[in-house]
Parts: sequence; structure tokens; C-alpha cells
Amino acid sequence: MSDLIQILLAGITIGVVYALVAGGLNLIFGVFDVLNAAHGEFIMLGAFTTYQLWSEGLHPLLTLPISAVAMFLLGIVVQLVFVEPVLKSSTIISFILLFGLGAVIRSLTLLIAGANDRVVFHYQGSVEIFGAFISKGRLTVLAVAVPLLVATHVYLKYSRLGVATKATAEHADIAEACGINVRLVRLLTMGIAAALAGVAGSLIAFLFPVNAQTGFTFIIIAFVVAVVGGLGNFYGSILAGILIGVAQALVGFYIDSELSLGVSYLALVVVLLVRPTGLLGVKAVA
Amino acid sequence: MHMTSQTARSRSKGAAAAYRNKTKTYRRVSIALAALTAVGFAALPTFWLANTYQVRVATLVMMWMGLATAWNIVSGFTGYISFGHAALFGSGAYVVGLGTARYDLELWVALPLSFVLVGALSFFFGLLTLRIKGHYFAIATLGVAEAIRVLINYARSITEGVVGFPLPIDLILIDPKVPYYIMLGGLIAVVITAAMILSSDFGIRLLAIREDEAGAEALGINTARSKVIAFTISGAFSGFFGGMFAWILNFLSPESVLTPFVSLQVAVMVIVGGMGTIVGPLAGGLGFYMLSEFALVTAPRLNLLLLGSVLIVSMLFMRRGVFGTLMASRFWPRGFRL
Repeated sequence: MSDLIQILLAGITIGVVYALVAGGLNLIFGVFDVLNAAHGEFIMLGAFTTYQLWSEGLHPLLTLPISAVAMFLLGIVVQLVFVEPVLKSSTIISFILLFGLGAVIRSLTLLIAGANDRVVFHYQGSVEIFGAFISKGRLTVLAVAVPLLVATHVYLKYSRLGVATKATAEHADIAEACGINVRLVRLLTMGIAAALAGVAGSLIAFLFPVNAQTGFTFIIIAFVVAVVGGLGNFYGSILAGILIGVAQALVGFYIDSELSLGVSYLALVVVLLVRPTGLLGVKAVA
Repeated sequence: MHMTSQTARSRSKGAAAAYRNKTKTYRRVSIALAALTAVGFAALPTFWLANTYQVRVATLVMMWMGLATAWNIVSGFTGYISFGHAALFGSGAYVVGLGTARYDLELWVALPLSFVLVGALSFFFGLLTLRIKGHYFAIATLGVAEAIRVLINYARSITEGVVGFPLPIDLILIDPKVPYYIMLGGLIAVVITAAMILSSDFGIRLLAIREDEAGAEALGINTARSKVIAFTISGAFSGFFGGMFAWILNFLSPESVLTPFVSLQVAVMVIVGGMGTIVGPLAGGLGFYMLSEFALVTAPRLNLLLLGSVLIVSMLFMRRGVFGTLMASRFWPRGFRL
């Protein structure tokens, strides 16, 4: 029993990190139909920011807001310089463009920082909850990621800009005709998504060693989560993130850890065959 | 009234005839161009390629050109972007690799087998994924491909997992000009297939799916069948090129043939070259592979940087790819499709 709780907790921890990344992907797709292939680089840069500041003596938790703000600004720059000019073209164009941008960021990081792994040694030991042990690192991840997801929800639901974001996602032309500054909404959406990914990267650095390729390995599974949840649906990515995180942990523990990635791809295919637009997706995107 | 409609008809008849004559000329020009290129490639090893390395690079150039053309048959013609071709390419490589190294098959049996078996695999792959539309399809193909990679990694007792295995030594000792000419044959075959599809009714059905799938269905086109056939043809060729790659590489591991990078690279080649055209994937494959090989030799650390920059610049300024943009420009003769 305590085994099961432990596995569930581990799965949920990784699941909320997936949700942070995939939630951003879905916000971006929902608002302006772009699949951000460079999203992984926000994760990687967020992780590197945390590592760098921690190694200079800062408490890991204090690095989180810095990494969030840095990625927010970078996200806005990326949107202004690379995404806005190609918004009118098809999604594949912006996808390939952002993939190229991701490659450039990755290779620059490799050139400047090298390829070696970086580890944030801070959270050691575990805490006992209901007879199950959870590492302090995972507990911190949960304690940061869950409130962050709730905060994003509150922003979307109750703030003026959040409502404007949802209106733009619903129908950009009509939102613009109603006086919403859709360009500002797009900039903010990309910024927020990038900040979420940056924090996700910082949290990943609490749990695993990170290197220049970290973002790229994470982004594929994040796309799977985004699609399983339903492209463009922020809440779908939370649901799918946790489901896939738990499924991976269960398969990893009871069957074989090498197959734990495979189960998410299996989930993807099964979900798409039963519900072609993901768990919570409604519009068939052609 | 009667008279005018008749004149209009005869005028349009004249225009149609002129148009047909013009396209006939264009077709002759493009066939001549294609034949010339093929002869050029055939003559290359005797006249110019000096050493084994150059022959190998030229062989791989043709492989990427062929793979890009195969990808274009499904994704360029129907608009269904596949990010799963690494799995088809990789499966072909594993058919030849495992066939020769583990099951003592002759290479001359294993190579056609990679075409046939991967064709069959693609049929089911397509049947499974092509019901899914738009971006969901792209990510679904990526997912299925990754699942295949996980399985091949996991079946360690057969595939040696991530470690990989070498191919039999006697394959390595074959003159590199032999795979060169076989690759040339494969490339010519896939280009002719793509060109024939594009000028056939089947090709028009595929283009109709790309432009408006619901409309195509309303006209009575069996879109599901057309898509699956296109995917199967594309996959069979991808498998064959994968089999050739295993032979040229002499060593097989999931890392070299099954990563999503392979899928993305093929997609990028076609998109930068010009989707839905015949010459676009060829130019994209040639240009992109030569560039990455050049970058790898001269500045290995800048390889990724250079390729990323090429993507950014070409997507910012030539969204239809080099040849797509060229053919849409007013300098290009109308009706002349390459």
C-alpha cells in the first residue's frame, strides 16, 4: 500500500511538471495556433538559470522567480522577432521556424556552457507521509507547481487580461473588434507560457541532472501530453500530465522502467483513436 | 447567343490545345532535365568522385533526396505532415541489419524485403493514424514512431538494444560504388513514382485532400483509401532507403536511424525545398545534406547552429520553400511544374 502511495506521489510530481510545460504549449496553441517547437529551450534555460544562481550561493527557491521573469522576457522577444512575422502562414511554417530557433539556442548553449551535466545538490533526504516516503525535492516540486497551476487558472478565469486571452482563443477577429488588443494578448500568452516552462525547468533541476539537451528530450513528451489533453486546452494538459505521469510511474515500477516512456505513446495513440481531438479538446483542428 | 457561345467554345478549345501543347513542351523539358541529372549521377563515380569518402557522401546525398521524395508523396501531396518516418526508415534499416547479421539472409534478399515489409508496416501505421486529422496526426505519428523506438530498444535479445550491432564483414568489403548505383536506382524509382502519381488521377485526389478534405469526400473521393495508399508507397520507399543506410553505415543502433531527428530532418528538407513539387525535395535533400556534411567537416561545433539559422531564414523569407516560392513568382513560366 505504501508502495502504491509512493509511486502515485512520484507520478503526480512528474505529472505536474509535464502540466506546466504542456499547459504553456496549449495556451500558445489555443490563442494563436502555433506549436512551439522551441518550448524545450525555455525549460533548459530555466534549469540553467537555477543551477547558475544556486552555484553562486542563492537558495534554490529564490532562483525560481528569477528564472520565471527571465523566460517571460525571452518569450516576449521570441514572439516579437520570430512568431509575429509568420502568424499568417500555416502552423508547419512556424513549427519549423521555431524548431530552427531551438536548434540555434541549444547549440549556442553547448558552445558557451559545454555538454556536461549539472546537478543542484540541495534537496536531500525524504519525508514520511502516511507511511510512504517522498523526497524533499519532489515535495518542493509539488509545493511550487500546484499553486502555479492554480494561479494560472485564476489569471485565466478572473483577471481582465485572462478573460481577454480566452476571448482571443475563442475568436480572435471578434475579440479584436470588441477592442481587445490581441497583439498584447499574444505577447503575454507567449511570455506566460515561457515563464511556466522556465519554472518547470528549474524544478526539473531539483530532481534530475540537467544539460543542454534536457529541454529537447522533455519537449516530445510535453507535446504528447498537450495532444492527449486536447490541443489548445490548458486544463486538458493538467489532466493528461497527471494521468501520463502516474501511468509512467506505475509501468516503471511494476513492469519495466525502460517501458515507462512507451506507455505515454501508447496512451497517445489510444486516446486519439477514441477521441480524435484529445481528452478535453472540442474543435477538430484541420 | 448561339453563335457567341460557339465562338467562345472554339476559342476555349484553341486555348486548351495551346495549353496542352505548352504543358507537353514543359513535360519534355522536365523529362530531359531528369534524364540529364540521372546520367550525371551515373557518370559521377567514373569521372569525378576520387575516393571512398566522396562516393559515400554522394550515396548518402541520393538517399536523403530519395527519402525526402518519399516523404513528399504523403505529406507534400496530401498535407498530412508525418513526423513518424524515422520509424519506417529505421524499420527498413533493422530489416536489413537483423536479416543479414542474425538470420543469415543474403543482402539481395534483405533489401527488397525491407521495401515489402516496411510497406506492410506502413499500411497498418497509416490505417491506424490517418483517421486522425491535422496537427493531431503529426503528433500521433511522432508518438507511434517513438513507441517503435522504445520497443526496438527494449527487445534487447534480438536487437542488442541501445548498444547496436555491426553488419556482416563481407558486406563492408563490397566496393562502395555498388551501393552507389543501387541507391541511384532507388532514387530514380521513387522520383518516377512521385512524378507519375502527381500527373495521375490518384495524384489529383491526393491534392484534393490537401486543399479541402471534406470537399473531396463530398465529391465521392474515398479519402481514407487514397491517404493509406499514399502512406504505404511512401513508407515502402522509406524502408528501402533505411535498408540501404544500414548497409552503408555497417553498424546499426536505434540512435542512428530511429530518433525523431530523422523525421524532422526529412520534413525540413522538403519544406525548405518546396512541398508538393518534384524538384523541391530533391533540391532540399541535396542542399541540406551537403550543408550539414560541409558544416560537420569544417566546423563540427557549429553544425547545429548553421542548420538552425538556415531554417529560421528560409521560413522567414521563403515560406513555400525555395522551389515553391520560385514557381509561384511571376518569372516562372505558368503551367511549368517541376
